[in-house]
Parts: sequence; C-alpha cells; structure tokens
Amino acid sequence: METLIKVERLVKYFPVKKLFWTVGNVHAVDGVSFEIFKGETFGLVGESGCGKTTLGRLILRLIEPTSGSVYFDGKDVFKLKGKELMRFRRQAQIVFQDPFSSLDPRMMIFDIIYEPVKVHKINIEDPEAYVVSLLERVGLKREHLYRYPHEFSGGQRQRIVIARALALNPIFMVLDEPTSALDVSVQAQILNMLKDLQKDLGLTYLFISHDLSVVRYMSHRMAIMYLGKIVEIADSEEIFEKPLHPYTQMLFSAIPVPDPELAKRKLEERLIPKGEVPSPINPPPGCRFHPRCPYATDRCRSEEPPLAEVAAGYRVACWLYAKG
Amino acid sequence: MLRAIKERYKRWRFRNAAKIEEYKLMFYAFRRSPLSVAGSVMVGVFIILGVFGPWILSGIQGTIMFLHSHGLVHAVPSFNAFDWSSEVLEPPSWRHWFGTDDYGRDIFARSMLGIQVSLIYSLVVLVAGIPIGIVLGLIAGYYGGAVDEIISRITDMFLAFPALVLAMAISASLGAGLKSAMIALIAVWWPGYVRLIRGQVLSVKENLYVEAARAVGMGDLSIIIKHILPNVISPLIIYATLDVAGVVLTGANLSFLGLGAQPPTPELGRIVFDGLDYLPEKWWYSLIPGFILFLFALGFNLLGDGLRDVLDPRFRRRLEFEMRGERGE
Amino acid sequence: MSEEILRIEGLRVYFYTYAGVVKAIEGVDLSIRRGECFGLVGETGCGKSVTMRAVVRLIPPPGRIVSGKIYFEGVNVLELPESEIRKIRGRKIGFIVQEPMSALDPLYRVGYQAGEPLLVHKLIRDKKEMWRRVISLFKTVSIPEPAKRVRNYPHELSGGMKQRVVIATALSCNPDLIIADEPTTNVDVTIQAQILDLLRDLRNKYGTTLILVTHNLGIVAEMCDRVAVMYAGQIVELAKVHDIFKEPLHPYTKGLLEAVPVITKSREVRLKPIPGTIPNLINPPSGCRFHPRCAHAKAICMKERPPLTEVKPDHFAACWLYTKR
Repeated sequence: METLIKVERLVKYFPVKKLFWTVGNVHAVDGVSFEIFKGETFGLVGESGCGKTTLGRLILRLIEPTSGSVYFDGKDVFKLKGKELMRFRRQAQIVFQDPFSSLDPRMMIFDIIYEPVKVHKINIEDPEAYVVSLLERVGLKREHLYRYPHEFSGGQRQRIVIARALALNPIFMVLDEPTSALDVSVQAQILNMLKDLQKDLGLTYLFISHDLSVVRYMSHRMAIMYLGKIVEIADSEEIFEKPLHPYTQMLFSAIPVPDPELAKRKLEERLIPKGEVPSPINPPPGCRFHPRCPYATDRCRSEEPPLAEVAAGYRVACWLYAKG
Repeated sequence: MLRAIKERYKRWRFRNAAKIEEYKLMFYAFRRSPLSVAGSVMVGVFIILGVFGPWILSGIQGTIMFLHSHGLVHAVPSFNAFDWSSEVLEPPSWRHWFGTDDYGRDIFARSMLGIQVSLIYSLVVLVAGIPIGIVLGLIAGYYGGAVDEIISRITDMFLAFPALVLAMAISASLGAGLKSAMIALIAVWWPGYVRLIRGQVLSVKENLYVEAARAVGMGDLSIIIKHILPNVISPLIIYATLDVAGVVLTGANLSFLGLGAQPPTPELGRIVFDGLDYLPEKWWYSLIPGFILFLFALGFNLLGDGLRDVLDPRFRRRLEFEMRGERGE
Repeated sequence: MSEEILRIEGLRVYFYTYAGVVKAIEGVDLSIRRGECFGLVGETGCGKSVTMRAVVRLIPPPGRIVSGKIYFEGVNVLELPESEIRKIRGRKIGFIVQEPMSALDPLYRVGYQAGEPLLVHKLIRDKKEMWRRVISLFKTVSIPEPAKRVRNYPHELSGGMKQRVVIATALSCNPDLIIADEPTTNVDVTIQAQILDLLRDLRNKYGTTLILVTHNLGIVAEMCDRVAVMYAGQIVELAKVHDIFKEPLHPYTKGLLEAVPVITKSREVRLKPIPGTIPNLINPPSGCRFHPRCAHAKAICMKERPPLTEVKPDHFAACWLYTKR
C-alpha cells in the first residue's frame, strides 16, 4: 500500500512557565513514528492527556514541532513554503470536535463553505451551484445556503463543517473527535456519511477519538497512545481480537458493552489500572505505564521499551514482547 | 427586461433573507424600549442641529421674518452669535430665546453653534482614537507574548491617569485652544479601546473557527480582519456611542477650565464657564447651555444603552419568538 | 418481591420559556424497588435528568411540575412543604450530579464539601467529628491518602478524584436512594470503570438503591437490573436488562441498539441511524411522539399516544404494535 503520511520521531513539548522562567515541559508528544496509507482510515485512540489531539494538529502543521518530521506525499511538511504550503493546505483538512465554535457566527453558510475557495484563489464558474453540490453531498439542502449557524442543530453544523472541509477537494482529513458532541442517532448518521465519502472520494482519514467502539467501526488500522507515546499499533481487527500491550488490554476491558451477558463475563475478567494517569510534565522513567502495570518488572522501571515489530505490521512497546 | 430585474431581485431576496431577518429583529428590539427610542430621537435632533446649525438658524429667522412681514408675529428674534450688541445680559424673551450674554450676543444662536462644536469634538476624537485603539488591541490580543506586554503596559500607563487630569496636562502644554484640546482628548481616549478590543480578541481567538481558518491556509492578517474583527466589533459600537457623551463632557470641562475652545468660539462648556460670574441672577447664561449639554449626553447614553441590548445576539434570539408571535406566525 | 421505594405516577413537567411551553415530561410512570439498580436511558433532551430532578424537587424555573405524584417511601414528596423536602435531600436521597468540575465549590476544601450534608442534617455533633467521618468516607470511595486529600481544594484534584468526592458527598448521610445523573460522562474510560466498580461495591455493601441516568447503553448493561428507555419526555420501554437487550420491543429501543457501534459486532455491519431528529417539544408530534421517525408507524400512531402496557411478564412497551386498541 502506498504511504501518504510518514511521521518520524515527532516531538512536541509545551513549556510550563512561571512568570518568565520555564520550569518544566509538558511532554505532549514524545517521539512518535508511524505511517498512514492512502485510502485508509487510521485510528488514534487514547485517554485525555495522551497527546492525540496535539498529534493531529502537528500533522496538519497547525502547530510547530519541537523536533521530528512529517512527510506528506514524500514532502517534509514543516519545510514547505509559499505555493507548496498552500497546496498542502488544500490537500489536507481538519474537522474539529465542537460543532458550536467551529463556525463563525457572523458568516452565512455559503460564505463559510466558500471561503477556502476564495483563500486559494480558485476560479469556479458558478460558486452558488458549487456550494449547493457540497451541501447536498453532506445531506443538506439549497435552502440552507443563506442562513446563519445559530439556526442549525449540532449534527447539521458538523455536516457544514465537513462540507467546508471538502470544498478544496482534499485527499486527507484529520477527524478530531467529530462525533463526540453529538447524540447517538446523529453520530451514526455522520459516521456512515464519512464512510461513504471515503469510498466515493478516495479520502484518507486520521480518526482521533477516545471512544473505542467508534474508532473500531471506522478504522482499518489504529494506534493506542499513552502519555505522548504510541504503545501499540496494528490492524484494528487484530488489536481488538487480541490486544497485546497491558494498557490496551485495560482500556478494552474497561469499555462497557451493551450486552448483559458479555458484560458479566467482562466484569469477571476486568483489569482496572491502579491509580491515576501521571502528569505529562514529569513522565515516569522507563516504560511510562509501569506505575500502573500489573506486569511491571525492574527493566520496565528503568528502560523504555521501543516500539518494536512483533508480527507483520504489528508493533508494540512493551518488554513482555520485545525480543532481546 | 422587466423580468430580468425581477429575477435579480428575487435572487437578492433569497440571498439576503437571513440578513434582513436579523435587521428586522434589531429594529424590533430597539422599538421595544421607549427610552432607546427617545435617545435615538434626541441624538437625531442633535445631529441635525449640529450638521445644519447655521442654515437652520437662518431658516428659522427667514420664516419668522416672513410671518412678521405679514403681521402674524409682532417681533423678530435676533440670532447674533458673534456681534457684540448693547442688549447685554437680557433674560430670555421673544427677541432672544435664551437671553443674551455679557457681550450682548444671543445665547440661543451660540448654543446651536455650540452643538456643532460639540459634535465635531466627539467625531474627531472618536474617529482618530478608535482606530488606534482597534489596531493596537487586535495586535496585542492576537499575537500575545512580548508584543502584548509592551502594548498593554503603555496602555496601562495612559489609563493610570484620571482622564481629565491627563487631558488638562496635555492641552495645557500644547497651549489652550480647540485643536490642542482635541489632541488631548484623543490621547486620553484611545487606551480604553485597546483594553476593550484586546479582551474581546482573547476570547474570540479561542474559537475553533479561527483554527479552522488557519487550517485552510489563511494568513494572520486575513484571519484578523475577516474573522476576529467582525466578532469583536459590537461592544465597540455601544462603547463608542456612550463615549460621545463622555468626550463632549470632558471637552466641556476643558473649556470650562479655560483650556478648550477659546473666545469667540461658542462651545457649550465655555459658555457655561463664562456665565458663572453672573449666577444666580442672570441664571440663563450658564444654566440653559448647561442643560443642553446634559440633554446631549443623556441622548447618547440612552442610545448606547438601547444598542447594547439590540446588538446582543442572545437577546435577539429571545425576541425572535416574540416578534414572530406578534406577527402571528 | 422487594418493596417499592419510589413511585412516580403521571408526572408532567413543563418549561414555560419565551419560545413557548416545552412539554419536557409528558406523563411518566415509574416504580423503583428497594435495593435494585435502575437504569434510565435516553438521548439528550429525552427528559431523564428532569424526571430525576423532579423527584427531589429541584426543577429550576421556568420549569414547573404541572401534575403527578411522586411517592418516596410512601410519602408524596410533591405535597410536602419545602422544609420537609430539605430533610430528604441529601439525607435520604443522595444526588450525584453530572459535572464534577462545576459541582464542587472552588473556594472550599473538598473534605468540607463532602461533610457538609452531615452538618446540615445535624447527624454529627461538631466539625471535628465531621472531618473524621469524611476521612473514612474518602476511604470508602477509594481515594488514596484520604487524610491528606480531605484538606485539598477542588482544583488540586483530577477529574476522577473530583467525581469520587461528589460520590462521597452523596453518600455522606447513608441515604436509602442514590440518583446518579450521568456520573461518568466526562471521564476517561479507565476512570469510568473505576467509578462504576465503586458504585457496584457500595451497593453490595450497603444495599443502597441506585438509579443510574445515562445515555450509554454499555453502562446500563453492566450495572443495572431493570431499565426504562425514555424518548421525548415519555417512557417507551421498561424491562429487565436482559430482556431489553435481547428482545427489544419498541422501535426506538431497537433503533438505538442498531445505531450504536459495538465492539463485539463485526466492523462490516453498518450502523443503522435512526432517521430524522429529536422532536421539538414545544410542538411535539401528535399521538406517539416517535411516529415521525418510526418505520412501522400506522394511522393510529399519529392520533393517539400508546399507553405503557405489559406485553410480556415484567416487560412493558408503549407501542401500538403490541397494544390492542
């Protein structure tokens, strides 16, 4: 499969300042490397503070990294300038979580969706018809063109956000918790729509979410993040069938399933991690998960396990599996 | 041909329906408060008087002279604003509606012209001061960091002084006169806007549509002008309206202290100052122009308050239902 | 057959807003048994939170309880004077609110806030005893280093800790009934597991009745004995947990179960969204409120609201598919 995005040793630290002095750093993303293939949906899962949102923004160059690189279609994203940068911005788009602050309340829907086209100075014969076609693609109607955002529900607004993202004919989209703020029935509509769009337009997605069931439904491959590092990365089905990393196992066992018998069985086997998530300002030495891991050994406490390949396309960062 | 025009009109209607609804809502909101309407009427009157002052005066004079020549009116009022006459310190009468001052000048005419001066004061100060405040506020709020620190500290320095004291100091050092008073007022007024705009920018900046604009490839300048500025402007309009009263009163204070408008320029504050010596017997000299100043400030204040409600989108949303109810939808 | 601890009969709650009258709760009947864990499920706006707030009479204006009876331990709470209700709130009914971030006052230490109900209901003699009790409370809710934590301020604690403090507050007076309103919505999955575990533990130890309000069907499957599904202010289905998931009757319940991505289902099975949107409760649909979105809607569904009838033993549904006219 062709690689569209290659992330290499990406690092992002946010300085913690007391007055003018930097007293520490938030290790938001701490050395992440992986690939996203063309046409797939790559899921990125983790709990709050794991760095997945920061990673999404880094890939789109909405923030500058502390070190490391991201290659989009072979080109280094952080070195792009001028026309090349604009081209990247046309090809890579993002959909945010909050549908309520994603739309400028003072602009009409037509202007919101058409704005990217104007920014890139693309010549379109009939702007109105073009925007209407985008609206129809996301399930809205022509009469919604000249209305204001406040007249729409959360689900509709998210559709508008997606329509806007499609305006420049992108090939890659970062979906940052696109349905977390929506109701269950609306969520299903949007997720199906995203799947259809991927098929029709050949899009590649980076799907970021904390909801494992949603990520599993949407992604072909996925990565689990913990405290700024990827701990497991593989084909979604394989991970769900048999998660290897202890954190992944705990994460999965913690998800409640809407099936009473299954739930009972899960409860018996449930592994609940001890304690709280440590602060990303002072991550634990060695393997970051060791304070909460039931299998922690001395090696885990002192040496950090590398993200190593244990099977074809399957990588885990854990001393239980690393060879050597 | 006619059909083409009708087509274009229909399309225009379709495209702007939502905007028209919003404006209708704003008018409805405004209409609801009698004080706001009163305020806007007063402001309207003052603006007309200010812009067309001299013509109105001669118009009134012409009309009355016309009526007089037909014997309908027994005497003609005299509107001598600048010529000294022998009718010194006369109380209000048909000949001099607001009485005369110590040089025999008609106070009514001088007051009308004084309104013009007050309007010019406020316009100049706000037109010069507000843009400075907006630009600095936008830059400070959007970029943050060192730039923000520098701008904010300078702003703080200016704001540390009470407005009148600072204005006095500046205009005194520049020499008394209308021009130096205006410069002083501009210097006193721009910092408030920097604070206001900067605060608004800080909160608007956090909205995701700003980040979305960046993701699309918009440069900082475009984002500031197209996304941030329209969303921070509404408090500014209210603030500016209320400020008109403030500027005028401070300018009047300056004249009152002898630092603003110099004789023979009629400025309401100056007239009040000049009339102080003659209180309380010759009360019309100070009190009537003072009252007009009061009405001027009051009108703008009421208008500003009314606008504050109208421009608040949440308030408009509530009214949407009331308005629709009244229309029977 | 254990006794009834709470019974709601014909509850109607309307909100008189500027936009019109929102008929938030339109005729709800519920019976909760002592010692059970009862789930109240529905999407946003279905009225589940409002129903529970009606039980403790904490409906904010412009809302009003228009009609109905709520019997708590045999007494109709809607007819009690405010002073009597206050004796019940916190003492006999503990309420766990949704947002731990805003439920705790930033100015007071968490130990004080958890112990405040004890002071208010005069269950202890003095502050010293309160602090002692609170330390043991914190131990019960598995807060590590309780003696230290009781002196912390809310901002010094993580989200999971804060939620535990809120639970401790609800537990402080050993209430007979705990109402948990979306207790784990804004919390990470692993912390959620810990909190649900805690609630289960407490129930096993003290036999407290628990009403769990949530939109997450997984939590319901894990925790509850019986479940009621709400839609647009009405109960559409009520049954034992096993029956609701294995043999859902009401089209809405079925729709919900098919619209939620489930880990155990194959990835290829497409989610079936429920067409349409949640109705506007100022002008709710006539008859059965779900009919505009229902694939099986018949003529009668638009005219008359179906009553909640027992279709199978202990399995109720409000749908014309099952009730004879």
